[in-house]
Amino acid sequence: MKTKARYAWWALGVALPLLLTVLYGVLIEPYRIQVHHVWINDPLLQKMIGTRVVVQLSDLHINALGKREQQVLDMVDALGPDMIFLTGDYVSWKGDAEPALVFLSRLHAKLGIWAVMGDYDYSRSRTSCLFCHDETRRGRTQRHTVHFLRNSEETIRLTGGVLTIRGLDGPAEQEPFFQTAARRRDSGPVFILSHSPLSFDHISDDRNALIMAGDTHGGQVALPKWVFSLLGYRKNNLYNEGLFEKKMKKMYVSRGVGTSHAPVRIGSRPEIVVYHFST
Amino acid sequence: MILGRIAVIGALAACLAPCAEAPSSGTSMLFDFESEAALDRLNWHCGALYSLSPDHATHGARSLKMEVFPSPYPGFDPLHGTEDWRGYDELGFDVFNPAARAIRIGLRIDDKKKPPLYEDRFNRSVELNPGANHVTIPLSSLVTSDGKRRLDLAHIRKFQLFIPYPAQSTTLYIDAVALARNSR
Repeated sequence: MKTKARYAWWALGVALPLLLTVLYGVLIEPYRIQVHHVWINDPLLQKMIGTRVVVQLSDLHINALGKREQQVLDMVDALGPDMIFLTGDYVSWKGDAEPALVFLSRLHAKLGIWAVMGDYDYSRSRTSCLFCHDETRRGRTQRHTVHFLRNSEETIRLTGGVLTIRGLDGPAEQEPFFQTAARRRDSGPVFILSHSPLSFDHISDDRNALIMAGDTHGGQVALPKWVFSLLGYRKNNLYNEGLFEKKMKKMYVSRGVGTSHAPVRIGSRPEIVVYHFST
Repeated sequence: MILGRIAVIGALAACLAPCAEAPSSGTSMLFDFESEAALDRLNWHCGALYSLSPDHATHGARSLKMEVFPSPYPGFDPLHGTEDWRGYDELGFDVFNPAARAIRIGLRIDDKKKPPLYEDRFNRSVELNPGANHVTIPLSSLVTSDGKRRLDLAHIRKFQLFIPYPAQSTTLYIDAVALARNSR
């Protein structure tokens, strides 16, 4: 009897914290969206961007316009963004694009919104056309004002110069057009949008480039690097989250907002990134 | 009685085992374009639009109407995952060219998971005359462009039919993409 009671207490001591952690990971943390202010040391960008509000959203994985999605929209609105950058995975795997298209239509920024596609967005490639095109797939969509950049770029004139915004398109990561876009030399600063952080390795170290990436979700569960390596998640092993710098190039990997595979986050809060540039 | 049943089951199993490996008929229709589901199976890329058409069907009631627009390599790229083309002798498909002039198309077939360089895949240029064309590619000719090896027919990853850098919008009708065995 004493042994049975001891085992029962032991089981409770292990099972209860585990259960509470899982419940926290499913019911609480995915909704604890953090506005994460990231400081980038770049005098030229500081001169060009100044105090303008630059926001990045990534990996929304929208199934429906629910509580979390509305929360994100409200938080982004409250920031009063001048520029918004989106780094892919707006839908769930082979999911309906309609809620994501509605979400995109509710984003507003004074100077513009630029985006790249993620691998999930191509899971139904016929549907993926709707991010840029109307139902006939011949004309541009009127559903939202987001500029999708697919191995293409736009420029925007700001105080003190011209900023280039370039989008790298996966899944053609090894295709020549991706390589051409990644390696193009620029005379001024460039923002490179890439869903995958592995693009960092394809960009020359002496480029004055800020790469905004996502895809990793910060692992969704905070685990040591070697676990990701063991599981074969190279991107999480190398660039799980945060700021990476090599000579002149910099990359910030966002933990994103949504979830995939399992609807859980533990130690990897969803984030809306706000960039600040300093001298 | 029991031994008899075991013998029957064993005989059936022996018959089914080799049958499971060889294609059961002389032709394997890869794409026939008879329903919307066929459009969902395609890899949609910028620069090309696909729709089902009652015109120029050579198998069933409909063909694939492919419109390509000025862009790098717009075309038809239907495969997902890995295909096993062993047991067949040729790949064939029908293309109707409604233009008054011949159109040159490119064919690309890969057997590598990571997109290979030009030299390490099969590449061929085909001229489509105005009107109906039947294109046949013997699978024995699927050799990499550098001539160093034959493609692994058990692991075909990509089959692409494209128009390189079309200067203007171009329409083609595609049907009956199939693998076939020569009659022996």
